[in-house]
Order: sequence, then C-alpha cells, then structure tokens
Amino acid sequence: MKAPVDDRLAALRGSAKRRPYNARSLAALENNPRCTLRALLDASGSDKAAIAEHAGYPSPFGQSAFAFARGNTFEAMVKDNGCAELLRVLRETLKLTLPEVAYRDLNDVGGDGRNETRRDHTAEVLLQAAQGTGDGTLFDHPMLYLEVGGQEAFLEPDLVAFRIDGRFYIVEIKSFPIIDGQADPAQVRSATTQACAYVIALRALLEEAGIGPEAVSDTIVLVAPKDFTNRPTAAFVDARKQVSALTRQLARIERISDLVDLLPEGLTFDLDIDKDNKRPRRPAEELAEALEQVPATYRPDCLNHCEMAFYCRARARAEASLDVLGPAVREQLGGIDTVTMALGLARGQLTPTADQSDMAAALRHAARLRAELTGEVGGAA
Amino acid sequence: MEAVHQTEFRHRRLSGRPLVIIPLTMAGEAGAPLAAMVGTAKRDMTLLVVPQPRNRDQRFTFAADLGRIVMRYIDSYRQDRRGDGERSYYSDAPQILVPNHGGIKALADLGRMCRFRSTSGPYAVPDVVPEFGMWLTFLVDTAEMAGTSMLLPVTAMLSEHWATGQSTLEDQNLASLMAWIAPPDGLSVEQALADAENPDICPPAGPATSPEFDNRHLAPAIKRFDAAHTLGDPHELTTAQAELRDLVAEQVKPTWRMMWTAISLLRSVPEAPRAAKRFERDCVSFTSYSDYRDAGGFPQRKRDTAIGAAQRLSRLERALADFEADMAFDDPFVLADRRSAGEAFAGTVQESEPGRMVTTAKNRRVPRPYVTLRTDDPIRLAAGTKLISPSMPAGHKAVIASVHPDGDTTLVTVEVTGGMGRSRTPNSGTVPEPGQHLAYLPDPGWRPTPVFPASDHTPWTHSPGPDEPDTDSAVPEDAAAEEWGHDD
Amino acid sequence: MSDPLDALEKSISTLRRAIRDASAAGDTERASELRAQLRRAERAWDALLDADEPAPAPPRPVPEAAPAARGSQLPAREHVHRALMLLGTPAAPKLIVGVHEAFFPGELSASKLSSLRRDEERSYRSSPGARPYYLPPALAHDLLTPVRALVTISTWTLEQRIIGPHSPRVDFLTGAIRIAEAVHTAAQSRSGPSPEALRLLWRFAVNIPDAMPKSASGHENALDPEQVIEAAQAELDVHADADRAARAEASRRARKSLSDDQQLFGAPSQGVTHLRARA
Repeated sequence: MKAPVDDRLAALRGSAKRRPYNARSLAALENNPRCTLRALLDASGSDKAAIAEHAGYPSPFGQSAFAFARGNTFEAMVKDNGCAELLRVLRETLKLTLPEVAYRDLNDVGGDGRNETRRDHTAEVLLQAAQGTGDGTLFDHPMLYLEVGGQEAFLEPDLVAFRIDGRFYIVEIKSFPIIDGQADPAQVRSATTQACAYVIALRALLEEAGIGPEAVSDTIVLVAPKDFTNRPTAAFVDARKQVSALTRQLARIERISDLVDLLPEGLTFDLDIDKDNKRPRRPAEELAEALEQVPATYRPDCLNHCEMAFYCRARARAEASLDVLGPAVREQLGGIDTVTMALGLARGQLTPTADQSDMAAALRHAARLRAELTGEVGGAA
Repeated sequence: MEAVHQTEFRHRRLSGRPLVIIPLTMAGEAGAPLAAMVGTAKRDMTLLVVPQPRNRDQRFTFAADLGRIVMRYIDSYRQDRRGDGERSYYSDAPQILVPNHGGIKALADLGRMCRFRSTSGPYAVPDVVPEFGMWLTFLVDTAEMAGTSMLLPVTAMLSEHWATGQSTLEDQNLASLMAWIAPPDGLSVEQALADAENPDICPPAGPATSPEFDNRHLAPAIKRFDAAHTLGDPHELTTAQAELRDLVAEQVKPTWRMMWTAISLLRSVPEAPRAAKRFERDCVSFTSYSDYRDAGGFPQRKRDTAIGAAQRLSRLERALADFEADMAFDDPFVLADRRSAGEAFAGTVQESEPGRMVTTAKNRRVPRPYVTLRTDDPIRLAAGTKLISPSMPAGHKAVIASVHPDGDTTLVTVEVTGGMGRSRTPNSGTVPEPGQHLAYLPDPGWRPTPVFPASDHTPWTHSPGPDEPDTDSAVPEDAAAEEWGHDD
Repeated sequence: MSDPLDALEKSISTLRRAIRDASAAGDTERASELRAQLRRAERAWDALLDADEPAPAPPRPVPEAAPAARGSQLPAREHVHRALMLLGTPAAPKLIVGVHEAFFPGELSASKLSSLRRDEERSYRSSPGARPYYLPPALAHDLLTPVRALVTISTWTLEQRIIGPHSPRVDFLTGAIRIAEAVHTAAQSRSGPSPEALRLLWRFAVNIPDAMPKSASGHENALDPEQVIEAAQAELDVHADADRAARAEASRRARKSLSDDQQLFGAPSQGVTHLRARA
C-alpha cells in the first residue's frame, strides 16, 4: 500500500536528491495546510527554491549574515561557562532547584556527529533521565527523530531541560529581543511552531518506552535577549494549540496518498540537473505545465515563508483570483472566486447562482453608489 | 490595471514642512540602528550611518546626532502659542513621516533605547539622547491613535486614499504601492511592480535591508571598517567609512526620492474639511507634552498599569470611532462604503411630521418631528440608534424610531432631536422635507465615557514609572549593553 | 523640480535596472561596472542637490589596546597556562582570553589559542615529555573522548581534567571563587583591580544566587569579592559530592582502559559507536 505512494513521490522529485523534512519545513505545514502543491513538493522532498527559480520566480528568501551570526553568538553566550546565564533564567522560570545543574552535551558522540549516532545516543540519555537512572537537567542539542509520511526527519532543539518533577521542557534560544516583556508576535509564533515539532518528536521517543505524553510539557521556554542588552531572559509560551494543530497536519501527511492519487500519470517536477554545469536541462515551459497540473492555495501571507509564493501569486493573478487580495476580501466576497466574476455580478452582466444572489445584490448596490459618485464628485452629497 | 481612489479627500493633514525619516536597522540585532536619512525637503537631507551597529558608543553617537536634528525640528514648533495662559496652545505641530509601519516600530525601539539613558555616571550619554527618546515615545504613542497626524507611515496615507489590486501586506511596500498609483514614466504597472520587488532596482524601504545587500556588500564593508579601526589607521578608517556611507546611501536614496514623490502626490489630494479640527487636537496634545517636558517630567513608563492600559484602550477605541465618523461625514466615498455595509443609509423623504411635539421629563414641550425615508441600502441599524447627517445643517441630530422592510427597499422613520433652534417651532430648513434626499450615519458621540477607578490619578504618560526598579535591577542595562561590542 | 535632477533620477533608475539584468544574467563583471556608474550618478545627484551633508561624525575613539610592550613577550601557551592556573579548572578559549585580559599583560587572541591547541597533541606525540606541560583537551566522563571546547593542563590530575554532568557548573563556581580571590588580592595592591577584572567577576556573580550585594546600584565596583566567594562556595557544596564521584569513577575507568597518551588526549573517536541499539 505504502510503496506505490512512495514511488509516486519519488517520481515527482525525479533525479534530485531528497530534501528531508526539518523543523522549519514541518513548521511550514501549519502555515498553509490546504495547499496541495506545497504538500506534494514537501512530501516528495523536492527542492522548492530550485523549482521556483527554474519556473521563472526565484525566491528572494535568504538570511542576512548578520542575523545568522547574531543567532549563533547569542546561543553560545547563553551556554558559556557551564550554561551560567541559562541556569539563571531557568532557575527563575522553571524553578529549577539548586542541585539541578547536570549538563549533557549531545552535539556529538565522542566526536561522531552523524545524525543516526546522535539520535541513538540522545535516546539513550533521555530515556535514562526519564526513568530516573541517569544524570541530567540540561541536554544540549539533543538529536530527535520523527517519521513523517514514511520519511525520516531529524530534529535538533537548542536545548531540552528536565525538571526534577519528571517533565521535559523544550527550550528555544532566539536572538530577537523581549522588550519590556513583549516580543514580536510573528517571531514568537514561528519559534513556537518549530518547538512543537520537538515536543511531538520527544513524546514519540518516550512513548516507545511506555512513558506518557504528559512527561513532555507543551509549554515552551523561550530564551531571548532582554530589552536592548545581550543578556537573556526567559518566557513561557503556551504551545498546546499549536502542538495539536501540527499533530493534525502530520496525520494529514500520512494521507498524502489521497492527493497523489489525483495526479495525472507521469507527472514530475524533475529539473534534470546537468551534472557538469549544475543547470536544469528540463525546458522551463514543461516544468510550468507540470506545476499547473497541481492546485495551489495562494495567500499573500505565503510571500513570507514559501519559496513557491511568487510563482503561485503569478498564477493567481493570471486567473484574476480574489486570492491575490488577501483573506479579508476573500471572506467579504464569500462564494465568489475571481475579480472577473465579482465585476460581472456587480455590473449585472453575470447571472448569479442561488448561493450568490445576496452577494450579487450587495455588489450591484455598491457599484451603483460608486457610479453615482464618480459621475458627480464634488457636487452636493 | 491601476490604482483607483477610494476616498474623495485626504483625511490626514499633511504639514507644509514634514520631517521625513527613513530608519534602517541591522538584521538580527535588538534595535540596532544602521542608518537614517532625515530632512524636511528632498533637497535638504542628512544621512547618518553607524559604521559598526554592534558598538554601543557608536549607537548612541548616532542617537545623539539624529536626536539633535529631530529636536531642532520639534523645537521649531514650540514657538507661537494661541489663546491665553493655561489654555493656550501651540498653533502648529510637527509631523514626522516614515515609509511604513516598520519605520514606526524602529522609532519606537529607538525611543525605548534612549529615554531611560543617564546623562551622568559611567555610561553617560549626551543630554539630547533621553530627551529625544521621550519625544519619540510620545510621537509613537500618538501614532496609535486614529486621526492623529504627528507621526505617520506614508504607505498608510497612500493606501487610505488609493485602492490597489494587491493585498494589504503588499501595500506596505512603498515601491509596490507607488507602482500601482504612479508607475515611473514609460513603465506599465506590471513592469513597475516587478521592479518594486527587485532589491537591485528598489532596495527595501527599511527598516530591514535586503539580506543579499547585507551579505554581499554591507558585511564586507563593516569588516573593513572594523579592521581599519583595530589598526587605528586614520586613512584606512576614512576610506572605510566613506565606502559604508556610499553603500548605505545607495540603499536608502531610492526610498528617499520615492517618499517625496509620494508626498507631492498626497498634496494633490484635497484635505478633508474635518482634518483641521483633528489637527487642533494634535496641537493641544503636542503642547501638553511640550509643557510636561518643560517642567522636567519623567520618561514614559515601560509598561502601563492595568488602569492606565484600560484608559488608553478606551481612548483608542473612541478615537477610532470618531475618526471613522468624521471620514464618513466628510467623504461621500467613505459614506458609500458604510452604506454598502449597512452602517449608514441614504434615501428620499417620503413624509414628515414637522409639527410633532413631546413633553420632556422636565415637563417642557419640545418639537420632535418624525421623518420617514425610503432607502435602497441594506440597513443594519436598529431602532434607538442616534444619528448625524452630512446632508443637514450642523447640529442636526436624530434617532431611529423604526425600521420596516418594504419590498426591495426599507422605510426608516427617524425622530429629529437636535439642531432645530431654541423656539417651539423648528427653524426653517432644519427638518427634512418630503422629496429631499439625505444620508444618516451613527453618531459616535453617544458612547458614555467609561469611568475608571480613581486609584491612578496621574495620566499614564506622566507617571514616573513605579515599575522600576525592575525585577533584576541588579543587572545594569548599560553594563550588559556593553557586551555588544565584544561578541566574537 | 529641476530638469537636470529629473534626468539624473531617470538615469539612476535605468542603471539600477541594468544592474538587475546583469546580475540576472550572471554577468558579475558588468554588474560591478554598472554599480560603479551608479555610485557616480548618485554622487552627481548629491552635488546637484547641493545638500550640505555634514561630514560623518568620526566614531568615538575607542581605548587603544594595551601596547604589547606593556606585558612580557611570553609565548601564547605560557599565557594560556597562567590563565588556567589562576582558574584551576578546564576552560573554554573565550574564558581563557577573558581571564588573561583581566589579570595579565600581553596579547592573547582567541585565534592564536585555537592554532595553539592543534599543535599540542602533535608536539606531544613527536616527543612525549619534552615539555614541562601540555595543554590537552578535557575528557568526557562517559566515553572518555576529548571535549575539544575545553582546555586543561597536562600536569592536572585526571579527575581535574574529566568533565562529568555536574562539572560545568562546579568548574564555573570554582572559577568564580578563583577570580574573586584574584580581584581581592588586586584590591590590596596600589593599582587595584582592572576594569576588565571587575567586569569578569560581575559576569560570574550575576549568575550565582546571593552573590550580588542586595542594595546594589548595579555597577561593578559595588561588588564584594568575599560575598561572591561565600555564595559560590555555598552552591558548590551542593554539587561537590556528585561531581567528585562521577569524576573519580571516570578516572578509574580511564586508568584501566586508556594508554598514557590517551589519558591526556582522550580515547579515539572511532570505536565509540558500538552503543546500545536504539531503545
């Protein structure tokens, strides 16, 4: 049952190397769960950025070296000197007791940094802690693991803290500031969504040893610079809703076969990269045709996080879809899909269906008011 | 494909001499300014650059330099007072324009960073720094209040008047917005839009710079500056600084020019009649803060008290309701929008009862004429709603008595309650007559001013901040900030 | 608006588009040539504006780095040795540099330190014992592999060089005590402790319960080294037994299973992967 789906997904990706899921791509599941195109590209491990570029819509995503460096520096600073700063803030937030200081470095296993080795070592160390047979309060960069749609995903939280009362907490170390107790909501949200994948993976690990999900808190500890200083502060973020949302999305991936079944035979997003000059050999028009076979759910918000967004926006524009105007307009004009249809109904050139009749009346009314005004602007109202 | 206007007027006052500020910040750093271009005319601009944004001293040097320019501008409005004594106020107020909401956030961060700084002791900053910080915080606070004009993002002003065929998210990009409204000569809107999203042609209007620019140009230039700084070679240092300036100037100038194009576009839109009244309120609030500063008031607190926050929220809601009513009153396009949504209506008077009288609680006989209108609008207002009308003489007030659907139309009967003069018969022209066409919208003035516990007498803007000492005041912010300079 | 300004702005826009096209086509040479043109055009625009841009404010002079002449010309490894001896615990290069700058003259950079670490093992293997001491990495208590982030001194006991779960905290507290003692000693001298030393102590003290003076205005000078020592010792007492036990157990294992040079530079990385299969 599984194999044919995997074969189809592999065929979609074609000759390219599979891009495994990571915390970021899992977090993206929550942003636009209904988009078939994104779901298929992710599930097949296709290189979205390369595909978008070859289709003529290079994605402008990139991280500033400054942000990158700052993130690393801040995390290192927080963990310096036996996690001195981190312990201070965790003692404040998690109420760690004085003896709870034991630190386990899981960045590598005696110099071996391979994912699988680290995953096994992490599992051993964390299970010992959970079962009360091992030392450890702070677990630095554990390597967690999750099977997503039959594919392996390695997930690496900044830190996992284990409290004496037997609960694990995911600790996310971020370099955006918490100023006077407030942080940028969008950044907090994206940090939390990422942390949710860790919660789920850690729960899966413990479940294998018969330990229940309550052993992993769904409250995330966010550690970030306080105000304009370089010193950390910590805050709790309730991630319950996001954990269950992501759990649902992960379950949907398991049903990817439903989506795959609807695809035409032989469909592929393969770029056929030339081994020598690293350029795609597949004609761009052919790729565009393949992409068009798959429905996409564009929302302006996609521009913030999906590599395919500019491609999808162009497609939505070409279809005169109301999607380009954003969810507010979309909702206001419920039941109407395109600008063409909205204008047609407003001008009375289209006959509304039964569902559309109220909306059509409202549109005609609005159009009449505007026509009156544009005919007589400046006159007495 | 082009932008269309969705209001008749510009509802924001546009100063004859606005101060444009384009703030740029460094990616990944908490409120680390990288540069600002500032000035009151396209030809009068100053570019300030922080060569190494991680360096605390350079950061405050920048804050002081920008602070001096902004304070000179603000001070130029603290001259002429109108009225007498306590109640007098400055007759004009400053107006700072930034490209987008991010620009306001950057100024808010800068204000927060500066206003608590000490001008003495081990980490002393120039006097202008905390003063500038407090003023910025004041301006940022006013910007949250609907209808004010002392600090505004130009994108918001443009998209209030023009509707584009893109989302509100994209409307926050000044270049995209301008592409819809006024594409450069010889370019279609589509072409201009493509250019607007290409950082080579239209660098982002800030506060963030494009990651590509950061990685390809800025990072190496800062590195060279740092190297020259370490070596202490004055020639190298000058060269490195000049290079950084050129680089930043290239990023910010396209936005600078576009800001002034946008401003002249906005000037071409007539100002709404009621903007003047709102501006007077700006002048009063400007004066009151100015007097507070003159009296050596404390910096704004870090966080509102619970009561302060509730009061502020209530004021914000009220300001929004007033502003929306003002706009609908002034502007037939806005009124039409409200009518489409059922929040206002217009129609023709079918019948009226001008002689109707009622007896008030004080046993006085007063005129309360009934007027019935027929409207096509999808009215969603209930009986009892108080109304004002842009079609009637000032002071006209009415209340909905009944709403009856009648076929495709609706019959609305209103009781006229005000604006008829003091005599027992309404003055002529104050009661709508049959055949007259008129519009009504809800009177925002009906809501009672909420009463808050009196435990907090001082207005939130004026309290010394009892939330200090902070939970960890033992940690000097300055000393910690010191670490910025050494993070490798 | 004046015509020349308009014309210039137009050509600036044209240039920017040309740059876009050149970069899109991957023609970096052309792109950088165009960028130079753009820069000239922007300067011309400035000139036309006759904008009186003030010269950029020179950055405030930063205190000059101490001239090398101030300190001895000791080799870097001597500097490291001295800093480690003061701390008495394994330490990361950043802390070693911090301690050095706080208490000793001469220059020591983090980059120098990392090249130095690479040389140590080579030098030891080519002629073991030729030097009075080496600077090997600390050893992990479980796998006895090197913890490359931490530097130790070969003359220390195995127990001192091993890192157990509690050791990072224990070493931090021990380091705090040693730094406080050094600050205390410096305070008796005529010149007093350096600002760097006070700042270093402050950074330790803020992360130790009850190490900061209660009424602190927050500045470093308000710190009391004796209070820091007392507070650090109090927390140290909580962890000491657990830490000692783990280090001792690991040392016994190391002595039994590792060769002499392995006891210094750690068990080889390979051969450690035969871990229990995933639970």
